[in-house]
Amino acid sequence: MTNYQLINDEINTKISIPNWRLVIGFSFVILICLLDLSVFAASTSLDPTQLGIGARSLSMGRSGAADMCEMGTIYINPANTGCFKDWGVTSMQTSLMQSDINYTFLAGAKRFADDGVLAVAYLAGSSFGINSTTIDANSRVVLNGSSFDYSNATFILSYGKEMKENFRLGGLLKTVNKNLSGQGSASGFNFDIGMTFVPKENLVLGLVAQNLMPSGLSWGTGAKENLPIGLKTGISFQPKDNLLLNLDLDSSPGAIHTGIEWQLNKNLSLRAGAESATALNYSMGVGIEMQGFRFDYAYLLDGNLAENSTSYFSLSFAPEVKEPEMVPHENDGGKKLQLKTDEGFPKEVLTPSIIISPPSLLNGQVAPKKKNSVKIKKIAPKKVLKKKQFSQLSRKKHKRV
Amino acid sequence: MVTASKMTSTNYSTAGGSLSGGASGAGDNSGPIISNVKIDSKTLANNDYIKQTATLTATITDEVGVSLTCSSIEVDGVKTLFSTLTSASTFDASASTLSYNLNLSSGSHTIKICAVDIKGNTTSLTRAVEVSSGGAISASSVMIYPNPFNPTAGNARIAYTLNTAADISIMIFNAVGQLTFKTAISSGASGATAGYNEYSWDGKDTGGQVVGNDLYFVRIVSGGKVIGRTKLAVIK
Repeated sequence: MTNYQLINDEINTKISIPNWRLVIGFSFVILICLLDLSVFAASTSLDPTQLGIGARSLSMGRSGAADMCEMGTIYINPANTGCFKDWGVTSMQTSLMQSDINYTFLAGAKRFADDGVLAVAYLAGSSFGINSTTIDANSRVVLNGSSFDYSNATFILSYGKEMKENFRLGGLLKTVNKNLSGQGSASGFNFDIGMTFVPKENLVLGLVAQNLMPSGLSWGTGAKENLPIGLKTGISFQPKDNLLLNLDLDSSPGAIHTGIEWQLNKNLSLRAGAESATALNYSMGVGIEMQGFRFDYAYLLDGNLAENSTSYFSLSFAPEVKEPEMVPHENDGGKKLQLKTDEGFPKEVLTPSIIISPPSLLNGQVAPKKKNSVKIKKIAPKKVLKKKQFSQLSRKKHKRV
Repeated sequence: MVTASKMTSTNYSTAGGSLSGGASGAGDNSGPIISNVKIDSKTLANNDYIKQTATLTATITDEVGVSLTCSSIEVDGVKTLFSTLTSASTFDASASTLSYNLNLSSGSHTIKICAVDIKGNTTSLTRAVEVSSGGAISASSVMIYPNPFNPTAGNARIAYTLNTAADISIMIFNAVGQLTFKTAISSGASGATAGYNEYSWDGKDTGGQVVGNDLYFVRIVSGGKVIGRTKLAVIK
């Protein structure tokens, strides 16, 4: 039996046996937390991350709780670290409410040797010229000549890690600041925890519990408000290599998010989605990817008020990682596949750990970093992979980092 | 009775609800008081939008009495003495109430009430008004009092001036664009008439929960289009 066959068998065995105890246990903890915290549910303050993060997610109906192959969704579900290979940065810009408020999002993420992904992000919103008023002698509301400004800022620190080959866990700590210049300000922090579970190679389930701390924001006026406790569940399904379907259920605010992405070619993706909240909001978008750079555009049609429809722009960068090509084995009539790199068939096959992961499947070896930052492992010379394993790898064609 | 030589003229254009005019005779040196000037029961301020056909009412009082033969109402320079008012438009001396039916064309108009007492003391009040030309519906001067608003201390007064009566909705969105509150008002009902309008909001969302401290965006909507907007801060 070859090393590859051993690895293959191990993958099949581990993927076919779900970590139900872990999944159920984790879900149970989340539900208990939510039930306990519902006692504290009082006045709630808006969580600015409800804006939605990343033009790709927004163009897919603001879905992404189980969309592991997108750096932006790390901030929706901190366990969404599946396809994130090395490091990357992303940004988003939008103007909401007919440009009455502007938002900027900046983020970066880095995968470490232990297959954990650490991410930091900053989301800021600002609005200027809020008019103060008074009452005139006619008992009418009139301007009093003064105005003030509004801003909010959210800092996010997220960490996600692959606990098992088909189970990832993550936590997200956020600090939220809100300021109405000269009128009042508030600050506070909270945290989310999330998991993703991969029961099949083309199916991902996600679960996120949001704002689990009972105390959220403390205002200078003495008022204390909770950030809304929420539970988000998501399914990401890839029926074809170039097709991705997302479905999220969101408890706060109650909404259903769904989206589809069609990858036309290596550089171009088309997206559409819908979300059902206070109205049915449709969305559409496009992604253009080239040499590690990716530009995403999303347009959200507001079902409540057409004039609130908004454009979102994201620009991301993640260094490209060359993946070995799989070709029919020359001595096997094409029944088996083998790796081929630019240099031809290697004497020692180097396999990126993102394809066959985690490292524990590969005898626990942690390979040194190559120039292109892919973690690699020395497996065996000139060995072949079976077609089924190739199928498992095919999901990664639809990668988004 | 008054004579022309005793008359004085005072032209006020304040936003106030009552005026008293110039002095002339011993013992009574102030003109009549003009108050409660309203169009279709709504207080009339300068540059208000009004309907083409509307009823102007005002209270005119004086301690020695109002002269019907000298007091007048002028619309765009056309003067009508109180004594010549028809049955549809009257000055009720016993109730000190003027009622005048307006029938205006689209555009800008000037209405002037000139009240003279029997000693010749005069008070006048002038208001510029606008009748919508039938074009796009608009809501101007959208303001909220107080701002910032504390829902635990009372309601917010959402004020706006419509150029014409119309079916409208008031929509309030939070800082990430989610709809928080919505109400619809039918044309002609309180809050959807031509001119100055107010809507009183208790600070609760559509689910009946008091909204959180934050910034909100108020939209006046008619026919699916935003016709007026402003921002509101909530701080408890």
